Amino acid sequence: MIILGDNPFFGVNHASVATSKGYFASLKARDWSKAHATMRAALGCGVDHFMVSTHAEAPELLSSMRAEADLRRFSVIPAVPYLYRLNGLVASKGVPGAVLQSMSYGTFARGLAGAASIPASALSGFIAKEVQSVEGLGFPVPFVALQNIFVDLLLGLGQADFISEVARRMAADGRRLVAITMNPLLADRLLDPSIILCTHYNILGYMVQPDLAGFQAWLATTPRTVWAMGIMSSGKAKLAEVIADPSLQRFDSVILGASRPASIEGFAAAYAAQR
Amino acid sequence: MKAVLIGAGRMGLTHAAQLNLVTDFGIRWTVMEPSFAVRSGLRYSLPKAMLDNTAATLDGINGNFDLAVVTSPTMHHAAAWQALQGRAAKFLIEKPLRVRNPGPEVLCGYVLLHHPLQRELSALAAASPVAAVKLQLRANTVLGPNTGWRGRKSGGGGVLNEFGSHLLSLLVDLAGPVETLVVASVATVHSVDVPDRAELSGRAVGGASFTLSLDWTCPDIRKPAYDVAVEFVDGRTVSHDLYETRDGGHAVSIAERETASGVYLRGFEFTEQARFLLEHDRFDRHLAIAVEVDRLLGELA
Repeated sequence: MIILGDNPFFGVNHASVATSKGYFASLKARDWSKAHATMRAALGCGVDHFMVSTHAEAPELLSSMRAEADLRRFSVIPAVPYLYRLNGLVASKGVPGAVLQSMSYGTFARGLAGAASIPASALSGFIAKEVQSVEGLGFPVPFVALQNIFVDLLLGLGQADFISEVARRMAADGRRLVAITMNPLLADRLLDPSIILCTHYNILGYMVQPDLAGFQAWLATTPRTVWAMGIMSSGKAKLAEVIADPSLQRFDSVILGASRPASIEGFAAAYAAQR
Repeated sequence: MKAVLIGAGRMGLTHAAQLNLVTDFGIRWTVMEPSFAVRSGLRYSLPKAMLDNTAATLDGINGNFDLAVVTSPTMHHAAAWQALQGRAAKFLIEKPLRVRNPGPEVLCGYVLLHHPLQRELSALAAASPVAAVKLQLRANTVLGPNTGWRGRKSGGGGVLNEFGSHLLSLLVDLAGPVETLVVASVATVHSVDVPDRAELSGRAVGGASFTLSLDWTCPDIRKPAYDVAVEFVDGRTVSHDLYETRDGGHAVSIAERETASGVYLRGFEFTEQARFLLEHDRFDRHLAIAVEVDRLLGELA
């Protein structure tokens, strides 16, 4: 499955400051028409899942999609928590205020009643609140992704069981957890097998951990569901070489950030032909 | 390996997690953290194999350590160094250093010095005479009224304190110690009594001229954007922005090279800094840079 990524719509580019600035300028102009055109092209290619980070501008984009009947066909995969927004909330309201504002109390209480720990119940409550805001706009939310800075920090602090516990709480609500991680081999070793891993991969080896060969060897043998992001190396990799890479076919899904309709159409056609 | 963490805030926990990842969880930690709630949370949640002890004060830390990571507020760095000097084989102290007479076993957390593109440029600057260095930082940190600690001199705020030390570390890395430092202009836009924009210039002891430009009021960018340029005496100019290196008209993106660092948290430079810390026992050059930046920050204050 191809999943449409949101980075280009929000001025995020991991390989070029200049490109990032260009996208961000169009974002500040509140011009979503280019994003809508790319989304329509995605739907035309059968791409009907959209992963979006829950930063301050996300509700505006989702609302703009809600206003377009055809774009309501997307299922949304929120990537949470957006730590910069959380930081800002803590700075302006303090930790108690931020928690009070960010929590679904029903989910928190159900977590405690279900013998989940207080931290796992709290994070589940936080995730539920984010999910409610997306579902409230009419979009189904079959998966929830945890941001890599959060997952990898927790892994580094020995909190894999905590992530797994949150995944079980989410499964009780009928959703699957996607752990975005830059340390896939470690995450595979430590996390519950039901958790989907989403990780950075591209044929250039850019930000591929532990290294390109090590990653490919692991991918070839792991039974876990794995999604790939960053496969085009922020536009630096060549489409033909990306598609010809045998490892690409090992991923269950790939997240593709595209800023133009032609990009998603070209990739989807080549990807389908190869499969 | 036994390590002590002084200050379990955001950066402290990030460094601890990073070092755990790089050593594949080969560190047992003692954590000094004044907050009772944070100490309790760590005792409750950290695996037993990871946490030896917690302490509320420096006096409560017992024994010797292979490593001390000091991420308490800057004003407390000196006390931590004093309490642990001779009891820890090496130190990582967050920037700015603000420690009198630090030993060569101290690495200060100027993390951008460990970025692969900066290391390449630094190696070039060490091999060829430098004529000029031009550094720029633009950020969208302050876009409206800035009345908290970040906007006040009494809180240690302002763009020079927040970002200036990073740029100064890059400057000293590329041009060496500074002979003259002049504040060409400052402007307060949204803050109370500290600069939001600043232009600095001067000359290094080695003869290179430099300019530093800082502005954290830029609405047209998403994340802090650096621009680091070195003009060599032979006329060649090489620059990078942490994403791309430009040598004359030729640009190479960091995405076009394999950048695997084994493990990853926050950025290549953080992993590289952790690895550098673990693989070395003395940090003379990096310490000299940190001490020089401290001196320059003192002049600016």
